Amino acid sequence: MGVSRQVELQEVIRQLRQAVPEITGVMVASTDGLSLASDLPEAEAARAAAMAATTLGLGKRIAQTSNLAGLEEVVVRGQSGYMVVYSAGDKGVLAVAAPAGANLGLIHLEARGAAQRIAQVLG
Amino acid sequence: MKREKLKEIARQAMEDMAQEARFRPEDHQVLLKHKDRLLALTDELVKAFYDTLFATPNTRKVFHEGERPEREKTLRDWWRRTIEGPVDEDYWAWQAYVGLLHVKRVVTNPMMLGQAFLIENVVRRHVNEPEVVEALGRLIATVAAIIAHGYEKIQLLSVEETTGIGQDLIRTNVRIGVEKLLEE
Repeated sequence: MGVSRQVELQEVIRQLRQAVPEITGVMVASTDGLSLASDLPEAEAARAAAMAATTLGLGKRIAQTSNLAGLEEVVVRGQSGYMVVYSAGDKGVLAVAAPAGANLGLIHLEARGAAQRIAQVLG
Repeated sequence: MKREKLKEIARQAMEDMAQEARFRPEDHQVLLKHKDRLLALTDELVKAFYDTLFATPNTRKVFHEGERPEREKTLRDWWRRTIEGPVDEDYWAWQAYVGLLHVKRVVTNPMMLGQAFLIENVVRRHVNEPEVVEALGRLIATVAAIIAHGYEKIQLLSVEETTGIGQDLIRTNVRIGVEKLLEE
Protein backbone atom coordinates (compact mmCIF):
# COMPACT_ATOMS: atom_id res chain seq x y z
CA MET A 1 0.00 0.00 0.00
CA GLY A 2 1.27 3.46 -0.93
CA VAL A 3 2.42 6.01 1.64
CA SER A 4 -0.36 8.46 0.70
CA ARG A 5 -3.07 5.86 1.38
CA GLN A 6 -1.41 5.01 4.67
CA VAL A 7 -1.48 8.72 5.59
CA GLU A 8 -5.14 9.01 4.57
CA LEU A 9 -6.11 6.00 6.66
CA GLN A 10 -4.19 7.32 9.66
CA GLU A 11 -6.08 10.62 9.23
CA VAL A 12 -9.42 8.76 9.27
CA ILE A 13 -8.34 7.03 12.48
CA ARG A 14 -7.23 10.34 14.02
CA GLN A 15 -10.56 12.03 13.17
CA LEU A 16 -12.52 9.11 14.60
CA ARG A 17 -10.53 9.19 17.84
CA GLN A 18 -11.05 12.93 18.02
CA ALA A 19 -14.82 12.63 17.45
CA VAL A 20 -15.22 9.90 20.09
CA PRO A 21 -12.45 10.28 22.66
CA GLU A 22 -13.63 7.27 24.67
CA ILE A 23 -12.56 4.94 21.83
CA THR A 24 -9.50 3.01 23.02
CA GLY A 25 -8.27 1.45 19.78
CA VAL A 26 -8.89 1.49 16.02
CA MET A 27 -7.78 -0.98 13.39
CA VAL A 28 -8.15 -0.78 9.61
CA ALA A 29 -7.49 -4.09 7.89
CA SER A 30 -7.93 -5.65 4.49
CA THR A 31 -10.66 -8.25 4.10
CA ASP A 32 -7.95 -10.90 3.84
CA GLY A 33 -6.73 -9.95 7.30
CA LEU A 34 -3.70 -7.73 6.76
CA SER A 35 -3.20 -4.67 8.94
CA LEU A 36 -3.41 -1.46 6.87
CA ALA A 37 -3.44 1.18 9.60
CA SER A 38 -3.90 1.09 13.32
CA ASP A 39 -3.20 2.85 16.55
CA LEU A 40 -2.69 -0.46 18.33
CA PRO A 41 0.81 -1.57 19.39
CA GLU A 42 2.57 -3.16 16.39
CA ALA A 43 2.83 -6.53 18.14
CA GLU A 44 -0.95 -6.73 18.41
CA ALA A 45 -1.79 -5.34 14.97
CA ALA A 46 -1.35 -8.51 12.89
CA ARG A 47 -3.54 -10.63 15.13
CA ALA A 48 -6.16 -7.87 15.57
CA ALA A 49 -6.36 -7.39 11.78
CA ALA A 50 -6.89 -11.12 11.17
CA MET A 51 -9.50 -11.29 13.93
CA ALA A 52 -11.35 -8.23 12.63
CA ALA A 53 -11.47 -9.60 9.07
CA THR A 54 -12.55 -13.03 10.34
CA THR A 55 -15.30 -11.45 12.44
CA LEU A 56 -16.53 -9.48 9.45
CA GLY A 57 -16.49 -12.51 7.14
CA LEU A 58 -18.41 -14.60 9.62
CA GLY A 59 -20.84 -11.76 10.36
CA LYS A 60 -21.57 -11.31 6.66
CA ARG A 61 -22.25 -15.02 6.24
CA ILE A 62 -24.52 -15.10 9.31
CA ALA A 63 -26.44 -12.08 8.02
CA GLN A 64 -26.76 -13.71 4.59
CA THR A 65 -27.86 -17.15 5.78
CA SER A 66 -30.24 -15.66 8.37
CA ASN A 67 -31.87 -13.39 5.77
CA LEU A 68 -30.79 -10.25 7.62
CA ALA A 69 -29.79 -8.47 4.36
CA GLY A 70 -26.50 -6.54 4.22
CA LEU A 71 -24.31 -6.54 7.31
CA GLU A 72 -24.11 -3.21 9.19
CA GLU A 73 -21.69 -4.18 11.91
CA VAL A 74 -20.72 -6.88 14.37
CA VAL A 75 -20.78 -5.89 18.04
CA VAL A 76 -18.86 -7.97 20.55
CA ARG A 77 -19.73 -6.89 24.08
CA GLY A 78 -17.54 -8.09 26.94
CA GLN A 79 -17.77 -7.29 30.63
CA SER A 80 -15.22 -4.53 30.29
CA GLY A 81 -15.95 -3.16 26.85
CA TYR A 82 -16.87 -3.42 23.19
CA MET A 83 -15.24 -4.43 19.97
CA VAL A 84 -17.28 -3.29 16.97
CA VAL A 85 -16.38 -4.38 13.45
CA TYR A 86 -17.66 -2.50 10.38
CA SER A 87 -17.45 -3.31 6.71
CA ALA A 88 -15.46 -0.67 4.81
CA GLY A 89 -16.35 -1.43 1.20
CA ASP A 90 -15.34 -4.61 -0.57
CA LYS A 91 -11.72 -4.44 0.48
CA GLY A 92 -11.64 -3.05 4.01
CA VAL A 93 -12.58 -3.69 7.62
CA LEU A 94 -12.78 -1.17 10.45
CA ALA A 95 -12.58 -2.38 14.04
CA VAL A 96 -13.17 -0.08 16.99
CA ALA A 97 -12.55 -0.85 20.68
CA ALA A 98 -14.34 1.04 23.46
CA PRO A 99 -14.78 0.59 27.21
CA ALA A 100 -17.95 -0.64 28.93
CA GLY A 101 -20.44 2.21 29.28
CA ALA A 102 -19.24 3.91 26.09
CA ASN A 103 -21.84 5.68 23.97
CA LEU A 104 -22.41 2.97 21.38
CA GLY A 105 -24.81 5.13 19.34
CA LEU A 106 -22.18 7.83 18.92
CA ILE A 107 -19.55 5.23 18.06
CA HIS A 108 -21.80 3.79 15.34
CA LEU A 109 -22.55 7.24 13.96
CA GLU A 110 -18.91 8.25 13.64
CA ALA A 111 -17.49 4.84 12.75
CA ARG A 112 -19.95 4.24 9.90
CA GLY A 113 -18.84 7.53 8.35
CA ALA A 114 -15.21 6.55 8.89
CA ALA A 115 -15.86 3.17 7.25
CA GLN A 116 -17.25 4.95 4.17
CA ARG A 117 -14.14 7.13 3.95
CA ILE A 118 -11.90 4.07 4.29
CA ALA A 119 -13.82 2.38 1.49
CA GLN A 120 -13.15 5.41 -0.73
CA VAL A 121 -9.45 5.42 0.15
CA LEU A 122 -9.11 1.70 -0.64
CA GLY A 123 -11.02 2.16 -3.87
CA MET B 1 -18.18 -30.15 -6.90
CA LYS B 2 -17.31 -29.15 -10.46
CA ARG B 3 -14.87 -31.36 -12.38
CA GLU B 4 -12.80 -28.31 -13.39
CA LYS B 5 -12.17 -27.50 -9.73
CA LEU B 6 -11.01 -31.07 -9.08
CA LYS B 7 -8.70 -30.85 -12.09
CA GLU B 8 -7.28 -27.62 -10.72
CA ILE B 9 -6.66 -29.21 -7.30
CA ALA B 10 -4.87 -32.13 -8.97
CA ARG B 11 -2.78 -29.78 -11.12
CA GLN B 12 -1.75 -27.73 -8.08
CA ALA B 13 -0.63 -30.84 -6.20
CA MET B 14 1.40 -32.13 -9.16
CA GLU B 15 3.00 -28.73 -9.75
CA ASP B 16 4.14 -28.65 -6.13
CA MET B 17 5.88 -32.01 -6.49
CA ALA B 18 9.48 -32.25 -7.64
CA GLN B 19 9.57 -33.38 -11.26
CA GLU B 20 11.61 -36.47 -10.36
CA ALA B 21 8.97 -37.60 -7.89
CA ARG B 22 5.96 -36.99 -10.13
CA PHE B 23 4.28 -39.65 -12.28
CA ARG B 24 5.04 -39.21 -15.98
CA PRO B 25 3.67 -40.65 -19.22
CA GLU B 26 6.71 -42.99 -19.57
CA ASP B 27 5.78 -44.49 -16.19
CA HIS B 28 2.43 -45.46 -17.57
CA GLN B 29 4.11 -47.15 -20.53
CA VAL B 30 6.06 -49.25 -18.01
CA LEU B 31 2.86 -50.21 -16.18
CA LEU B 32 1.26 -51.14 -19.51
CA LYS B 33 4.27 -53.27 -20.42
CA HIS B 34 3.76 -55.28 -17.21
CA LYS B 35 -0.02 -55.05 -17.33
CA ASP B 36 -0.82 -58.76 -17.08
CA ARG B 37 1.43 -59.36 -14.08
CA LEU B 38 0.15 -56.27 -12.33
CA LEU B 39 -3.51 -57.06 -12.94
CA ALA B 40 -2.90 -60.62 -11.73
CA LEU B 41 -2.12 -59.10 -8.32
CA THR B 42 -5.59 -57.54 -8.01
CA ASP B 43 -7.13 -60.11 -5.67
CA GLU B 44 -4.14 -60.19 -3.34
CA LEU B 45 -3.88 -56.43 -3.34
CA VAL B 46 -7.58 -55.88 -2.59
CA LYS B 47 -7.58 -58.52 0.15
CA ALA B 48 -4.44 -57.14 1.83
CA PHE B 49 -5.81 -53.60 1.60
CA TYR B 50 -9.14 -54.31 3.29
CA ASP B 51 -7.86 -56.97 5.69
CA THR B 52 -5.52 -54.31 7.05
CA LEU B 53 -8.23 -51.67 7.30
CA PHE B 54 -10.70 -54.01 8.98
CA ALA B 55 -8.08 -55.32 11.43
CA THR B 56 -7.42 -51.85 12.82
CA PRO B 57 -10.12 -50.29 15.05
CA ASN B 58 -9.54 -46.70 13.88
CA THR B 59 -9.83 -47.59 10.20
CA ARG B 60 -12.51 -50.25 10.64
CA LYS B 61 -14.91 -47.68 12.12
CA VAL B 62 -14.84 -45.73 8.84
CA PHE B 63 -16.98 -48.43 7.22
CA HIS B 64 -20.67 -49.24 7.49
CA GLU B 65 -21.84 -52.77 8.16
CA GLY B 66 -21.72 -54.81 4.93
CA GLU B 67 -19.89 -52.13 2.97
CA ARG B 68 -16.73 -54.11 2.23
CA PRO B 69 -17.79 -55.69 -1.12
CA GLU B 70 -18.69 -52.28 -2.54
CA ARG B 71 -15.38 -50.76 -1.42
CA GLU B 72 -13.44 -53.72 -2.77
CA LYS B 73 -15.05 -53.19 -6.16
CA THR B 74 -14.01 -49.53 -6.07
CA LEU B 75 -10.40 -50.50 -5.39
CA ARG B 76 -10.46 -53.15 -8.14
CA ASP B 77 -11.79 -50.54 -10.58
CA TRP B 78 -9.12 -48.06 -9.50
CA TRP B 79 -6.32 -50.57 -9.93
CA ARG B 80 -7.56 -51.64 -13.38
CA ARG B 81 -7.97 -48.05 -14.56
CA THR B 82 -4.54 -47.17 -13.15
CA ILE B 83 -2.82 -49.98 -15.05
CA GLU B 84 -4.86 -49.81 -18.24
CA GLY B 85 -5.22 -46.05 -18.33
CA PRO B 86 -5.83 -43.56 -19.53
CA VAL B 87 -3.92 -41.76 -16.79
CA ASP B 88 -5.05 -38.33 -17.83
CA GLU B 89 -6.55 -35.17 -16.30
CA ASP B 90 -9.78 -37.00 -15.57
CA TYR B 91 -7.87 -39.72 -13.73
CA TRP B 92 -6.07 -37.15 -11.55
CA ALA B 93 -9.34 -35.26 -10.95
CA TRP B 94 -10.79 -38.55 -9.70
CA GLN B 95 -7.95 -38.78 -7.17
CA ALA B 96 -8.75 -35.24 -5.98
CA TYR B 97 -12.38 -36.32 -5.63
CA VAL B 98 -11.16 -39.11 -3.34
CA GLY B 99 -9.79 -36.37 -1.08
CA LEU B 100 -13.29 -34.88 -0.92
CA LEU B 101 -14.81 -38.26 -0.07
CA HIS B 102 -12.15 -38.80 2.58
CA VAL B 103 -13.15 -35.57 4.32
CA LYS B 104 -16.79 -36.69 4.26
CA ARG B 105 -15.98 -40.18 5.56
CA VAL B 106 -13.35 -38.94 8.06
CA VAL B 107 -10.59 -40.93 6.43
CA THR B 108 -7.51 -39.08 7.65
CA ASN B 109 -4.33 -38.57 5.64
CA PRO B 110 -2.33 -40.89 7.95
CA MET B 111 -4.87 -43.62 7.17
CA MET B 112 -4.60 -42.91 3.45
CA LEU B 113 -0.79 -42.76 3.40
CA GLY B 114 -0.48 -46.04 5.27
CA GLN B 115 -2.65 -47.78 2.68
CA ALA B 116 -0.81 -46.15 -0.23
CA PHE B 117 2.47 -47.70 0.91
CA LEU B 118 0.72 -51.00 1.54
CA ILE B 119 -0.25 -51.16 -2.15
CA GLU B 120 3.34 -50.49 -3.13
CA ASN B 121 4.60 -53.21 -0.77
CA VAL B 122 2.16 -55.83 -2.08
CA VAL B 123 3.29 -55.19 -5.65
CA ARG B 124 6.97 -55.25 -4.74
CA ARG B 125 6.59 -58.71 -3.25
CA HIS B 126 6.01 -60.01 -6.78
CA VAL B 127 7.38 -57.49 -9.22
CA ASN B 128 10.78 -56.03 -8.46
CA GLU B 129 12.20 -54.81 -11.74
CA PRO B 130 13.60 -51.32 -11.06
CA GLU B 131 11.55 -49.69 -13.83
CA VAL B 132 8.29 -51.00 -12.35
CA VAL B 133 9.29 -50.18 -8.77
CA GLU B 134 10.17 -46.63 -9.80
CA ALA B 135 7.05 -46.11 -11.90
CA LEU B 136 4.86 -47.49 -9.14
CA GLY B 137 6.64 -45.35 -6.54
CA ARG B 138 5.95 -42.21 -8.56
CA LEU B 139 2.35 -43.29 -9.14
CA ILE B 140 1.68 -43.84 -5.43
CA ALA B 141 3.49 -40.61 -4.49
CA THR B 142 1.42 -38.62 -7.00
CA VAL B 143 -1.90 -40.18 -6.05
CA ALA B 144 -1.17 -39.69 -2.33
CA ALA B 145 -0.07 -36.09 -2.92
CA ILE B 146 -3.27 -35.27 -4.82
CA ILE B 147 -5.53 -36.93 -2.25
CA ALA B 148 -3.72 -35.14 0.61
CA HIS B 149 -3.84 -31.80 -1.22
CA GLY B 150 -7.49 -32.40 -2.09
CA TYR B 151 -8.22 -33.15 1.56
CA GLU B 152 -6.64 -29.85 2.62
CA LYS B 153 -8.29 -27.81 -0.14
CA ILE B 154 -11.71 -29.32 0.51
CA GLN B 155 -11.45 -28.39 4.18
CA LEU B 156 -10.49 -24.81 3.28
CA LEU B 157 -13.28 -24.54 0.71
CA SER B 158 -15.79 -25.99 3.18
CA VAL B 159 -14.79 -23.54 5.92
CA GLU B 160 -15.03 -20.71 3.38
CA GLU B 161 -18.45 -21.89 2.27
CA THR B 162 -19.83 -22.22 5.80
CA THR B 163 -18.29 -19.20 7.48
CA GLY B 164 -17.70 -16.76 4.64
CA ILE B 165 -14.04 -16.53 5.68
CA GLY B 166 -11.95 -16.51 2.51
CA GLN B 167 -8.99 -18.80 1.94
CA ASP B 168 -6.44 -15.97 2.00
CA LEU B 169 -7.82 -14.94 5.39
CA ILE B 170 -7.73 -18.52 6.65
CA ARG B 171 -4.07 -18.70 5.59
CA THR B 172 -3.38 -15.40 7.40
CA ASN B 173 -4.99 -16.83 10.54
CA VAL B 174 -2.91 -20.00 10.21
CA ARG B 175 0.31 -18.01 9.77
CA ILE B 176 -0.41 -15.91 12.87
CA GLY B 177 -1.44 -18.99 14.82
CA VAL B 178 1.73 -20.83 13.85
CA GLU B 179 3.90 -17.92 14.95
CA LYS B 180 2.13 -17.95 18.30
CA LEU B 181 2.55 -21.73 18.67
CA LEU B 182 6.26 -21.42 17.85
CA GLU B 183 6.63 -18.93 20.70
CA GLU B 184 5.17 -21.39 23.23
